[in-house]
Amino acid sequence: MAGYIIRRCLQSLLVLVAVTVLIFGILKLAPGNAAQVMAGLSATPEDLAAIEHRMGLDRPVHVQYWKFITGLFSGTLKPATFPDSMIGLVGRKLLASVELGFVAIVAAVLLSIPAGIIAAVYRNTVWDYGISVLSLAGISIPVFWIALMLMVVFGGWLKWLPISGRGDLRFGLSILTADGWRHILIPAMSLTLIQMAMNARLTRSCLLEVLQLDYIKTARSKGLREIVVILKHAFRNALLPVVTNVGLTAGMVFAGAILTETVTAWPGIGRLVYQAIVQRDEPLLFGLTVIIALFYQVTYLGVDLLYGYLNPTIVYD
Amino acid sequence: MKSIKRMFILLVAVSLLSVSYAVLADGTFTFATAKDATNTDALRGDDHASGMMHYLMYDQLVAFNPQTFEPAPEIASAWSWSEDGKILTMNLVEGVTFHNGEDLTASDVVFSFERILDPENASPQRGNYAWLISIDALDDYTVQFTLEYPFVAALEFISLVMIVPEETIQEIGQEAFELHPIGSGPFKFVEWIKGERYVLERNDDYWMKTPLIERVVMRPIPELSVQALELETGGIDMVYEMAPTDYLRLQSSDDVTTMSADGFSYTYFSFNLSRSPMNDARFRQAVVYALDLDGATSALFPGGTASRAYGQLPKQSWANADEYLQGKVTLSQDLDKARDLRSELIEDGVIDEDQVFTIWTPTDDVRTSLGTILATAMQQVGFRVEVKPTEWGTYIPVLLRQGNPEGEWDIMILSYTGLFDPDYTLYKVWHSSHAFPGTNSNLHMYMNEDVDALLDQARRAGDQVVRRALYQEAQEIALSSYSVVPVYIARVMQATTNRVHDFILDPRSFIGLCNQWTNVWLDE
Repeated sequence: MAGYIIRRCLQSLLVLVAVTVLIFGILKLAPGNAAQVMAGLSATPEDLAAIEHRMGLDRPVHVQYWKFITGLFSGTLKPATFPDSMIGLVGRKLLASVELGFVAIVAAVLLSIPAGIIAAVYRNTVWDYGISVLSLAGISIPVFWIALMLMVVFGGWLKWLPISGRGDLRFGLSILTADGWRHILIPAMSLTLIQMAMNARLTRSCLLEVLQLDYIKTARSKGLREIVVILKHAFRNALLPVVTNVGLTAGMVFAGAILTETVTAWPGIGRLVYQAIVQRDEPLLFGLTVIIALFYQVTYLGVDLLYGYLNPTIVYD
Repeated sequence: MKSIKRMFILLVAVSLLSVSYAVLADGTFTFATAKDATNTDALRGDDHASGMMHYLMYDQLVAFNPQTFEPAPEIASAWSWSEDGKILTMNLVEGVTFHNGEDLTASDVVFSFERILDPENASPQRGNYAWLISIDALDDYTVQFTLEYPFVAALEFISLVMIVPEETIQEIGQEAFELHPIGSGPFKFVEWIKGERYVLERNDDYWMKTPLIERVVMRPIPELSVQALELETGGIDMVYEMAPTDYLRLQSSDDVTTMSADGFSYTYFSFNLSRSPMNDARFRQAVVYALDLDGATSALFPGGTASRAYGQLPKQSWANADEYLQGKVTLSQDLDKARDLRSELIEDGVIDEDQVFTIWTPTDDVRTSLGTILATAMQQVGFRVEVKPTEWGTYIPVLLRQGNPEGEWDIMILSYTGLFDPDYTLYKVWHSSHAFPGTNSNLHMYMNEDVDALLDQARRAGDQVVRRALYQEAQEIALSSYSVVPVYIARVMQATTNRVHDFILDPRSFIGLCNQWTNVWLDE
């Protein structure tokens, strides 16, 4: 087990190094450079050269890369469009994204798994169809539209919820205050709907598959109550793909749901990525991408370990 | 009993949800911005969001009246020009202090200009001050500008420079200053968290008057429709840009006051003159003949929220020659002429039958739609066209022909925000000294000696009537080339909640909350 974790960590490290090279390469291959965006359309060539020099863009590419890498890990790499440190800024945004993602995923799991079970158990009934229709809608409606509609209905018409932002941050997190909760509801709901839709469908189909297996027949013929058969015997085995899906999407959501965060002005990592792209803030974009890659790695490792817990036949060697 | 309990739970739930969320209802003025700021000090860049905050934090020597566009004294109480128009002497107001209590004197003014001119600092603004040879402090409250040549727009450029405290910056350094910027303006810097909020508080010792607003918060909200919703529900107090549909909808709202004025920014499309067939006047005319620009403008801006632009100067400008240019230069749609010109170009071997042209646009809805309208019109007369909406961070390098001196684009769409004085706008867009790959504003590479001569002459001529005639002639020659085709000037559309009073709309979209013309206040 420990050997497995060490090996996975080493693998992750390799992936991270590759990611940094790739990201840096893409930044440098895109037309133009950050100095031009900063200089705008009216600077003279001398001014542009001076700005490039100040930003270190006139040095060889490998020197620039090394400066980014060492700067990132020593904390001296600074965003081009913000005077304060990158670590503080990114940490703050990461917290906002994780908070939002956590609420959305917990809500999605709590709602979608029972929904999936109900749909599987009461197959081909009104319940099943209803849940299927809702899931399909959740998967196909774009998240930004859902967010906008929630804003119009709950914010604009009913005036129950505030439109955007994080609200009261007295204790650092929105979920620690009533005002913060009211702010998190709309972005969380729009994320939840999508997650829920995928999970519910997955739970249903996996559970249906498992329910056909022989050991379920055995369990039933033993005279176990149906609810025990489903929840204790079938559900646990049907859960693996669902966990995978939750894990994959968790990485995505924690690392910033760009669309949702942009539409609802939720100041998370996704919004910051969007800003960094638009303002062509290369150091910030680089730092963010590396941190997001790191986050994915950690989440996937967590999912892999959770597998072992759910299905003891999986052996790590 | 049970039902009473249920009722009670329901009541609690409803009241929890409907608690008033006017979190900052006190003396705080909150406004939204689609793009966040990029700096706290003008030395490092002049994007609009940052500029709005600079405008509230710092003072300038000269201010411009937002309604008449006349220069007015601010830190400079009076000024005089020498006979030859090359020396400008300014007297400063005494008793002005920075937010840290230091006196604002002539040496701060000199420092504020010199740091922009210093190549070491690599300020993007430096190019705007090529006319300035030097600035000197004659005594503690007198400064003298020495100009390369008599330059009529000098006052307007001077009005763009924010006065910063020399001693503080020398002492703590530029980086530390940017973390805690200090000006002498009506509001003091509190904090800026990128993507969340940029907060200022009232400067109780402001020399001109005491601001009535306690705090100013700029909140980045990327979607304009979400901004409008926030405004309607009282989550914010003001929006400074709006989509036409939101503007028209909010006009009938009881909770919101809308206002608008002709903007200073015109949107145009231009041709890349470095390549064939764009350097052939017949091609450019064929494209223009294919277009119904009046129709495009009213389709993009319902309810008269933009007007057609025939020239490149603001409607309010004394040099605006739109009426004249409309009669002399502007072509109206004529599909037959467009088709004939296209056939002629094919016969002469200038273009291929199925050659594909690219129209590049920024990614916002309006300009992307304009690109689609252009493309559809061109297709109608037989051209094959591809529209390429491009993120700003890539768009600028593409327009600047980075790594490709001939340029990747054929036709591009851009908006240009000039100053009030016509020199800035016309010189940059047309003068051949601004035409070179890499960095320029004459992006299309237009070169014409007559136009150059007229612009140079107008820059040095002191008299407004003479200048007006020169600019009209220069625009007539240049625009007749159809290398740049002005399309529309959108109205600046803004709105505040009804608790905001004495707000004056500034067509440059600056937010003047406390200055010589107004002192905005809020209902309790």
